Amino acid sequence: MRPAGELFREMSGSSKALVRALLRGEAPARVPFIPWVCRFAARLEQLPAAAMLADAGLLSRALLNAQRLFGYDAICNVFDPSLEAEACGCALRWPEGEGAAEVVSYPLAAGQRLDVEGVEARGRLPAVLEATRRLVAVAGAEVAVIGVITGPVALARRLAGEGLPSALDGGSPQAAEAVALAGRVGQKLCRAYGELGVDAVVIADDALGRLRQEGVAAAAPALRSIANVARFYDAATLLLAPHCGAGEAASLLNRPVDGLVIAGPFAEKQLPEAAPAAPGRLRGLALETAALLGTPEQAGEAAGRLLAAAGPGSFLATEWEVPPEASVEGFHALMAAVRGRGGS
Amino acid sequence: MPFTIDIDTGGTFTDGFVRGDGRTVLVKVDTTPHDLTVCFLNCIEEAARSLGLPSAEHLLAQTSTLRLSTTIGTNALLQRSGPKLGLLVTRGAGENGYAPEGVANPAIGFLISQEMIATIDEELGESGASLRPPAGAEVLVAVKGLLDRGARRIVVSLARSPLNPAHEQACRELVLEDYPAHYLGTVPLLLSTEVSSQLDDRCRTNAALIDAYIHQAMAHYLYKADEDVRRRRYRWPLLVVHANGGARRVAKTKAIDTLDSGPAAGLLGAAHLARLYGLKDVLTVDVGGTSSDLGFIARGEPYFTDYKEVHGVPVRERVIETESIGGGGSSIAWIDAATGALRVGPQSAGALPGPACYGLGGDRPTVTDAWVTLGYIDPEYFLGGRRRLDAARARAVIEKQIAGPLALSVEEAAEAIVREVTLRTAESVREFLAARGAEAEGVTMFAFGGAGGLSCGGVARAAGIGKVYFFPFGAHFCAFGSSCADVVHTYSAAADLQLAPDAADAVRGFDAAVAALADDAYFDMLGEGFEREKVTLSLEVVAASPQATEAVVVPWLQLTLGGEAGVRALLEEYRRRAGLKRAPAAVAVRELRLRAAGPIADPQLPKDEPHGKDPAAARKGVRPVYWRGKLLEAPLYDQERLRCGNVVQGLALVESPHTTILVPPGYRYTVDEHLNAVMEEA
Repeated sequence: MRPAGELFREMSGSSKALVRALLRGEAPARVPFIPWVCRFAARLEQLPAAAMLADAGLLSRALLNAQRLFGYDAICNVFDPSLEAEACGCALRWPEGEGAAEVVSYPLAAGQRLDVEGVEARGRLPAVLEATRRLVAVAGAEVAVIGVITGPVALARRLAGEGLPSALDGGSPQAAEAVALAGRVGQKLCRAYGELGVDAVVIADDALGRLRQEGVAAAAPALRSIANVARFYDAATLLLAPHCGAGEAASLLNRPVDGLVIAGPFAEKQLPEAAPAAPGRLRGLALETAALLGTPEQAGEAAGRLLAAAGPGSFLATEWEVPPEASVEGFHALMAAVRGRGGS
Repeated sequence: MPFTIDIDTGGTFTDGFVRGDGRTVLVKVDTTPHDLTVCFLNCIEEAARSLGLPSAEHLLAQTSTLRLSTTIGTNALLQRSGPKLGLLVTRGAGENGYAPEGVANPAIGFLISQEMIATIDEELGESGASLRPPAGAEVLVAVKGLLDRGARRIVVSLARSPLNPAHEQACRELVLEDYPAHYLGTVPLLLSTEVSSQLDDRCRTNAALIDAYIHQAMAHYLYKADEDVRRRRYRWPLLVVHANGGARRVAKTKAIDTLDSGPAAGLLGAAHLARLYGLKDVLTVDVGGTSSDLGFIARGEPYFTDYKEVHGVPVRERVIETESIGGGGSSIAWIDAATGALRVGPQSAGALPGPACYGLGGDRPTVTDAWVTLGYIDPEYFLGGRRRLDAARARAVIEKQIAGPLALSVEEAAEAIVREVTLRTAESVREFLAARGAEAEGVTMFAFGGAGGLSCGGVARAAGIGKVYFFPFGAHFCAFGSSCADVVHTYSAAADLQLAPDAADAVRGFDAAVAALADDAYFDMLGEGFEREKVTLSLEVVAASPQATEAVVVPWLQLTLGGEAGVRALLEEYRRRAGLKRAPAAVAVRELRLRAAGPIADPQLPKDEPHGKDPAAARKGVRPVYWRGKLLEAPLYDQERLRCGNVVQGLALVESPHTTILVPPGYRYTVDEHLNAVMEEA
């Protein structure tokens, strides 16, 4: 039996080794960069986003090619908050071109009963799972593959309607039930990703950061369940929760996930100080979306600022999905900043 | 009539060439890198659909030959996804992979790390006599050390072992005693002499390391592919195309034999076409994104080489030769700061980020950017419209980095880039031909590759080649070439024979060694389904003499020497091949190589009826292009709609989803009965 350290030494130098070291709490050779690239990859391949997100071959090829083009350190398997919602029965509207799908019907609000059993076989989830299998098979030895799950509050909002976050803050049992149901969907998907051998699971929740402390506490059991499933498969869980204020972020840092990705001034200035409150937690320093839409110089500078604030357990990420219209040159500049900082 | 299926799995696409029932079908599917058997089966299913058959099973049940060429071995090397190897070598000679003193063996650090090389004490004499056999305890300690350091496959390569493989075999027996095959902890052991009979220890060791490194991936894929088609009612063995131009069933294929089998198959196809058109010498030029690959057909046969480098690792194997030169579509144009002159390459933008017009962040002008700027490539129809190009970006980088500094217009700068890459490529072509004893005037060019249509006409003119052939199935050419492959087994034996007319013992040794090789060959070919009378054997003798600096390969049609007369004839043939004035009194025979072939190749091309000279039915429109400083209207033709007898006069463009062909003013492009076309001066 070979020691894990030896295996690690053999893999060192690859992006995979870098990310695995980070997830294990070791000090990687440089700060890894994990952007949430999905529809941006479709744009690079000149594919309509809707077509790519429904086809395992197109999705895996586009994500692989994007990683090969820029050389970032992990591939996320998808980034589409409508994915689970569609599998749960929400109707979607796809805009022209590269836009994201919008949910146009709320099954829980309409009184429909949701059957979570077999949800991973519905909608576009089979295509995403097949794409994930391919990503792991083709690139998994060299590059970390990260499964993305829509967070329980975000999914519950899409199932029950826009008013769900405030209802959850107000202690509504129906809202809590919707979040628990969404959490069970997340567990199912997390298990499927775990079976495929992803390195980490990201819980992307664009509603969590807007909750008050009470709402966050109500969502915590669902988060914990997903994190427990991921842990069973030796995959780390990262929480991606934009729109957080400092207080909410500090609270989220104490949630039962392995790390938090956060953007804004808090990430640069206050997060390092908040770190002692959450020892051992991974901290994703997130580039704000505006930096990805600006000039290459702006992208490079923004990355440089965040990298300067990086400490133990830090990695560079994007605050949400890399927008399809992001600057290609800016992204190259960003990668140059990451490599320059780490010397690799 | 039964079908034959030929499939070539490339990095992006998997191509099929299927023939039978009086029909020929070309198919192209996406390669599925996560599992290459998926695209292999997709290709067969697509072919069945094109033939109007209900399923792949129906096609396979009626198929008599299924051949596959693949890049999976190359991919395993590129991605460095092979297992951790251990290497056992002779102490005092093999520590650096048998590299000469002061020279590094590129295999170390690439296929194997220095710490994974273990040494043992053993010695063979110059003629192969065992002077010091390996000691059992030392072998076991060395192997245990390699296993402890994580070896998953061990190569044993001992000095001079082709002269006497007994020491290598002894190592295997010792290891098997301690780690028998039924133990879970057993580790596959590969002997260098099982892979190669090369006396050059470094090249033989490298061949064994490469074979061991890619074996697992190849075995997994090929056995699964074989099994998949058998489950779908195919009744014969799946044949794998080898880089030596033959095909063999999976069970008789060494992993290393499959490296570069796609380009080798392409050369087989070119050789078939050269014979079909009665062409003596043919230069094949495959122009891709990053480089141009050259091949040569002499008197209807592909040119072989005994030396090749596999990603920089030297090996000695008899393979069909292809040579890579610079000058692909992604070659970067730049200004030499020292001289102020325009240069193109050798740097390339590759496929990623690619030329600036791809819009993927490439910020250097490339040849493709120049072609787009000159109007030769339609930005909306690149790859049949699968990728739209950014013509404005192409202009911008040429303007900023070339036109501005040289005080030229953008179009003049683009033409200068094309001219420069054309001249450089033509220079390489002339050197390539000269090295093979050919002169451009007597050579015909076959053009392939996505960029071949825009590049090859100019290169041929600059190099002095009069005719260039283009093929509508150029995008499937390797699959077509595979259909020209017979079942071939090759055998070689290292030898140490001093052949002279009066050396009766050496003659007997020669004849006995060849007879042993022939027995093996007939036995294996019977296993492939060929009776003795159907098998063609051909022998090559690798011989050396003090008069020649390098060993010479002498084809020897007879399989025996017989006696003095035979030896004299061999010495005379050696003289001719070595370019000597007088035959030497004796030669040292280093190696005997036997090739056994069983005929299965039956390539046939579609035939068209004459449709007259006028190509108007294929005309798509006109496109403005820059030609020698002027903006001209070039008629545009659809390659797939041109018919037998059609003649396209230059200036014109002929377009397909896979390529664009530029017919310059003063040239004509004539389509023949097979729908291939020749471009020559009008």
